[in-house]
Amino acid sequence: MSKGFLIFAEDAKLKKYTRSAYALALSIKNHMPNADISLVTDNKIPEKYRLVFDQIVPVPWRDRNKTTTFFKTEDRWKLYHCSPYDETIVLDADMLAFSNLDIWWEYLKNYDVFLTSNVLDYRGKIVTGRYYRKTFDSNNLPNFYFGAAYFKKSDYAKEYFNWVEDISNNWELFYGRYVNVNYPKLPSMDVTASLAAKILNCENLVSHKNAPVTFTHMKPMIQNWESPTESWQDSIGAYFNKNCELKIGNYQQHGLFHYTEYSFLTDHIINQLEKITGIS
Amino acid sequence: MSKGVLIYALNNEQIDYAKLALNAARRVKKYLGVPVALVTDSADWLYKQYPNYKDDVDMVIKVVHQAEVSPWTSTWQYPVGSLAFYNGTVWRKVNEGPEIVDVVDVVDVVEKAEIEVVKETTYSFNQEDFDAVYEGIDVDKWYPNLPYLVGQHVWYENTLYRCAIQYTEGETFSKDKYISLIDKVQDGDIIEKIFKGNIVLFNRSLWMSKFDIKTEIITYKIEDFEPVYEGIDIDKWYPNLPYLVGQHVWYENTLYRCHTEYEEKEEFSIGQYDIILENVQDGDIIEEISKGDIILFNRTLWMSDIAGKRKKETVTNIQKTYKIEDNFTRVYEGIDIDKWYPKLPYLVGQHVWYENTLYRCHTEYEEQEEFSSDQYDIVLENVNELTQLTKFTKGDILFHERVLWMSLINYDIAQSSKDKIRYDLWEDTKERFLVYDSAPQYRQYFDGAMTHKKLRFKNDIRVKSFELSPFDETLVIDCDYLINNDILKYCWQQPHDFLIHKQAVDLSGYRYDPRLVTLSDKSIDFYWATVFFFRKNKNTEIFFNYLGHIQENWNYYRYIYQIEQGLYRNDFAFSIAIHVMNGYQNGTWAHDLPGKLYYTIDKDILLEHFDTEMKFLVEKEKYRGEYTIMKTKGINVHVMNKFSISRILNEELNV
Repeated sequence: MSKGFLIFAEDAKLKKYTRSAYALALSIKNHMPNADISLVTDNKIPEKYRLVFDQIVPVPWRDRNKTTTFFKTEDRWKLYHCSPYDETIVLDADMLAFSNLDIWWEYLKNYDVFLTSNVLDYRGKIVTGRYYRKTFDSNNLPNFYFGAAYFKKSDYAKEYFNWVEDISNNWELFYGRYVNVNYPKLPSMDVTASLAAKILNCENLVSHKNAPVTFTHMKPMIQNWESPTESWQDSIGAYFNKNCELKIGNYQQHGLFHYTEYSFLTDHIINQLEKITGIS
Repeated sequence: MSKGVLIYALNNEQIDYAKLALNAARRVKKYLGVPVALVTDSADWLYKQYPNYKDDVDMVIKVVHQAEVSPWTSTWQYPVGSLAFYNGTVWRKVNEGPEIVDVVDVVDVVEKAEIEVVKETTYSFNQEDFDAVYEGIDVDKWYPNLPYLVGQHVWYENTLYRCAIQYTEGETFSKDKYISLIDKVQDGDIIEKIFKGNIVLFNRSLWMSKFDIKTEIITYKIEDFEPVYEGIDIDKWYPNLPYLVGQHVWYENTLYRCHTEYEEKEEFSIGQYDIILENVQDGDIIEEISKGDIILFNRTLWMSDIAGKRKKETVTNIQKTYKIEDNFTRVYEGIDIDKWYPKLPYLVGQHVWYENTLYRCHTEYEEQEEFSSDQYDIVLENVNELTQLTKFTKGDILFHERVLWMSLINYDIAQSSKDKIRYDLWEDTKERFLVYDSAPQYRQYFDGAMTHKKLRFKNDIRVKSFELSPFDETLVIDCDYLINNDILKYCWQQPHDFLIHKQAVDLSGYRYDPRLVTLSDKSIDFYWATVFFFRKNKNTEIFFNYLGHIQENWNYYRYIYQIEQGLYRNDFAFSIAIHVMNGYQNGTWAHDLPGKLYYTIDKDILLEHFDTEMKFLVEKEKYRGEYTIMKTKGINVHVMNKFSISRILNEELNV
């Protein structure tokens, strides 16, 4: 059974996400040198990026005439079909890995599909703030995140992703019917993935609140601060050292770090990651 | 393991912390039943004001500004009444006498006849100690006169090669036929020493060591060997002795049996004996032993089942610490006594000491090898040689430097050393001292909602708790932490090294201070240093050392951890140190103390405290200066209004 990480990055103009995906791949290689990582993109990428990705997979079934939203959420259902692996962990591009995640594979092999249900703040505490989750609470959706998700090529996963495909392609229709309170203005992969699980009534089959699969989510309103700022970087310092360790404020970061703000990913961080992994 | 409670009592201008601490100590004794040590900078006040303090406190640790007591030293002369610091406490001299006696002799004692052999075992390959590397490659050890194929991997003299051409080897390794791949590949069948990361060949595969591996050294005693020729006692042969028929005698590595009763002369008479066994080595002196060797030891034959070398003799240097002129009186004066030596002439009337007995020679005589007791009269028995003794008692007659002495002291080297205080001259006051100056800090102390005073706040010495505590397992409590149950006894039963409260409950029920949850909005979790438990070990020593570093560099840490207050607080310093011990993340270095930490702030007032019941006036929400009455029973409470505790104690004491 092949297994690997899959990162989706599609922003042909700015190429922010391909740069982020490259940094994420470097950080994974730093802790798991033998990990297989593939990038799903239609962007042209610098030659050196190919050193960290096993495969560059084009986004399948592109319809150039069809307009999509900025985050290309409508295309993410395709990840199931284009993944080159039997077992896949899908990660958001704007993440960095600060630990070896091999234990995840051991845990996830028991599932066909897995979605993260608890995320952490920078102090390592489970996020309880609901600022960004009003849609979920209002419409009684399961509290899933697609930022770190898993699927195994299987009949069950295929059925689940067929529903994700249907919702993604008809998101206004589905959201209008099932997510009509605090209706999202744009399609959200978290909402779509949660809705698919709700329709299939498989919430308990695709997640577990005590799972080791989680990540630190840096959106500022869920950091349990009395006085949050619009950008978390305005509230607290980020310290990335030459050993590629990250401290946020007084807290050493471990696991997967979802920085959410592109300005966080400085050239210094990428240079250090390239140095430590021997890619430059 | 000693266990106890440490309480701090550092008085300021208006608050008698010593009184509060005595009250806290009394409650510790009652509910926890363990010894209490009190740390105070007001010891004289304590002694004068509370002369019965010893009822509640087992040890007083004085905090002084300058050292008033010097460390004890054996070279000083101390009059009775002197104080000296020794072994962690202050001692008072109660009897006259020299501090310690001089060293008169140094004796090297050689531990002999320890017949042990040391065997170096070989390491047996254990797959768990290695990671497989270069998997899928089979490696053959090179042997001569065999054909080798192109691409075949071959190991020869610690190097891995790949055969470059098909070839049948001769007697010697043809290096030019092979490509060298990896050097320093050890043979896994005969590993002696290997370091982590080294590669070995075992079972045709290559393995990388996870650890440093050495051969073990095992010590065997001869008694562990198998005795042979059992039931027969064997004597070493000595000249000029009679030997009986059937007697087994060992002489020059051979075992004999005497076949004729015979009195030996100077030389061994081989004609009187039958040879039983040759090559029997002397176990007393053998240096190296091989498997299967037969040796004589302790009048028995033993067969070795290992090979090894004799363990080195150990030499112990014993220092004798007594002074002849102070501690002995001369007896049998005017007589010079000689030690007996063989082959010397002895005169009539000459006094001779031999094997713990004093003799007088009655016949002029030239001695042979052996002491001729018939030439002497016994004068005195049980006369030991002084310098050979490690223990003697008052009244013993001892031989030393050609003279007899009677001891005036009891002496035991185990109890007497020049580095030890004389327990017969000194008594332990059970008081310790620490030279320490608190950094001057002032803070507001409320006495209810409407009254406050700005007073000195001396709290920074708490970081010294590890150094100060006389206990191995210490519970430290604030003197305003009032114990009303025995729940904290569990500290000494549980396995964790450090316990502290992370959360606390304000008894008002309505107040919420986010600064008692995290040090600042973006900073780390808050821990309460009001009560904590630690077990002394390297782990907690590092913690307290780091705590001291934080306290010394408070302004730096205050900035790094975004603490708004300028005041040094132990709660903050402990929180930072715990955070660091957890590796800059939330963790389990510090565990929770049993029970909850309940508290009232100093704007509340303690009204009564009888047995385990407490009655408070708690400030009302939104009504400054108005209170709600509240009672508690059987719970421990941190009562921050120290004035109100003091008032209650005054009533109890009728002050």
